[in-house]
Amino acid sequence: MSAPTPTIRGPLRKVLDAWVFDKKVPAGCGFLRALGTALLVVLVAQGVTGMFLALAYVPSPDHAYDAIRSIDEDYAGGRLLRGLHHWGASAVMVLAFLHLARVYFTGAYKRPRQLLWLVGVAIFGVLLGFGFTGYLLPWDMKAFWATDVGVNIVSSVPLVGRPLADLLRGGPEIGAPTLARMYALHVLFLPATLLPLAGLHLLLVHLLGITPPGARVGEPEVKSEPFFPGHVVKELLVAALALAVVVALAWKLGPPLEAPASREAEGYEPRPEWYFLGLFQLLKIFEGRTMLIGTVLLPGLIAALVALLPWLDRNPERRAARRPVAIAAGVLLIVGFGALTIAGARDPGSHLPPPPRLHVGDGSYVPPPSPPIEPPITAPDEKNGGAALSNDGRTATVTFGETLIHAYDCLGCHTLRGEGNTTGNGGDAPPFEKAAGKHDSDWLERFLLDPKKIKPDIDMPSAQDLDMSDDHRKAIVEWLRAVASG
Amino acid sequence: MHRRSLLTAAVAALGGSIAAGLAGLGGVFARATSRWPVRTAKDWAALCKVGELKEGEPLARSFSFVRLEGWYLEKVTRQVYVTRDARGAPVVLSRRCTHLGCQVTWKPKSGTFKCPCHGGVFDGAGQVAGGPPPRGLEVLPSRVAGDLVEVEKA
Repeated sequence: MSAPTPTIRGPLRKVLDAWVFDKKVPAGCGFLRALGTALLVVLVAQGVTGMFLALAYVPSPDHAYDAIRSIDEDYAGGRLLRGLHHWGASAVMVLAFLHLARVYFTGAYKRPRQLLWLVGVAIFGVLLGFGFTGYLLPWDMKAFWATDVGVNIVSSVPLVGRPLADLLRGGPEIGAPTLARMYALHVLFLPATLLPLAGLHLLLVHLLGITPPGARVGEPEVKSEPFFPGHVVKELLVAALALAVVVALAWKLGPPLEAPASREAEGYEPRPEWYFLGLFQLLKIFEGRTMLIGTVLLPGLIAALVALLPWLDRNPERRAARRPVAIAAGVLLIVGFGALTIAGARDPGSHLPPPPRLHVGDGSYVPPPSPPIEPPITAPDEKNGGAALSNDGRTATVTFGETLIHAYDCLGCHTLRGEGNTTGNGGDAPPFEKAAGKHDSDWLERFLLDPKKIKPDIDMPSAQDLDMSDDHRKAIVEWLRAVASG
Repeated sequence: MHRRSLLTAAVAALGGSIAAGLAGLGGVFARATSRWPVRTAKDWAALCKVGELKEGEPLARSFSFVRLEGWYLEKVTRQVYVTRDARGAPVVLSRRCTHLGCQVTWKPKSGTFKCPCHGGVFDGAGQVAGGPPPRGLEVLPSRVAGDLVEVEKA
């Protein structure tokens, strides 16, 4: 490196020298002390993949699932991009955990780095928030139900729980506002929280430096090794290794996707992401009245202890051999949480695969039947006098039927509510309001299957011509009958 | 010093490939998503009867169709003028001004199509007669079926 020269690059040079080129680190900084930067690199990668995914995503229940499916199947790089973002989230959790564990077991949180630790713990919380808000976004079964359970945990907290859960959901149940809110949290609120926290964390690391391995609190900290390039290589190597694993997982396994979200979930057993499995398992241990211990008290207590650790642990020693209590407590916590996670993973829950995408005659496809999310049919409730809430209006099938009318371009000949082919060149195609006539479902289904068989002169494509599945035919018939009866 | 430059090269290579990989993948995806898979069934929409067309009296018509844009089913409506060329054959003109895309209107008094935005003027055949438009109004694919003028749904 040549000596800094007073050119126009002066100020930038100064910053780079201070932060990179002239910086020193203590001797003996191995790969374990590169985890923080590796986490930063993976987080930046998450930001980049997330921004690109936002190009093709819409946080609305009637399109979110189709948009995700379109990203996976229609666009070059889409599957890999979403895979990277999905598995990258896991890498973030792994690296954040390893980084935290390294700092804990080397006693690096001790004076003068108490604030650095506290900011780090806050960042860990924000990262869990990213994970939690992110996985509602695909709007599939897992997303819907795991989020439901998660928000209900929040709701179980005394006093503040209910209002907080309503704030997260935008209402008493998961629905369209929830998706918009989770999206806003995921892409605006949480990044806006993470950026200053991460900035402060980095600034503090820069000012305080890496803790020299094994140094007692109060001993002078000697920094003798150049930061660049030796330590930077280690940091980037760990980052590259983590990203390579993420790429391999994204490539091999791809991003998971289940069937579209639905409130009809009989027999569906939701499971959260692996990094929440320990907490999930904890819920099973504490049942009934003791539920709060598992949902709030124990996790809250551990979080508080972890956050306040530098002020609770006054032992000036950093060597593991001289901090038996702290080391034992850490190992116990990790073994305990690890055992819970493994127990949770042994019971994998349900996986509802996505439905096949349907193709219409000319090669275009119909989006999978995702939109109709019905209001829940609640069981009779004794409190409100046994009055069951039922969904008034159309059933999901009828709504789906009308979607199909557009997808198969039926309005190319027919009309509906005065729209469609109003020119009169659609042959004898009747308006849909009159199409069902007095015929029953059975007749209509047979008619749609092959119109020519029933009316030889008719110029209407058969179900086979349109590549129309039996389910679609039945949905259209149900809709026809609903339209005919007004 | 040799070790130092080797490590510096390693830093550049690692950082560079991570950045290039992310940027490359993002670029491919951004490009792919800039071309929505738009799907429509090939079909024709009737606009008017051939007999309705008169010299110098373009008919304002619209037609609609359903198309699948990526995952979104959209009802698209297009505005057109139906007129006749010198030999009396029907012509369907897009109302989209070729300058910057505003909607042109037929002015019977001057016998021209005028654009309300930047003063573009087109003659009865859709050719530029004044103002900034670079070329004449777009002629949409059409056909005569029986006594009906039909335009391609696209």
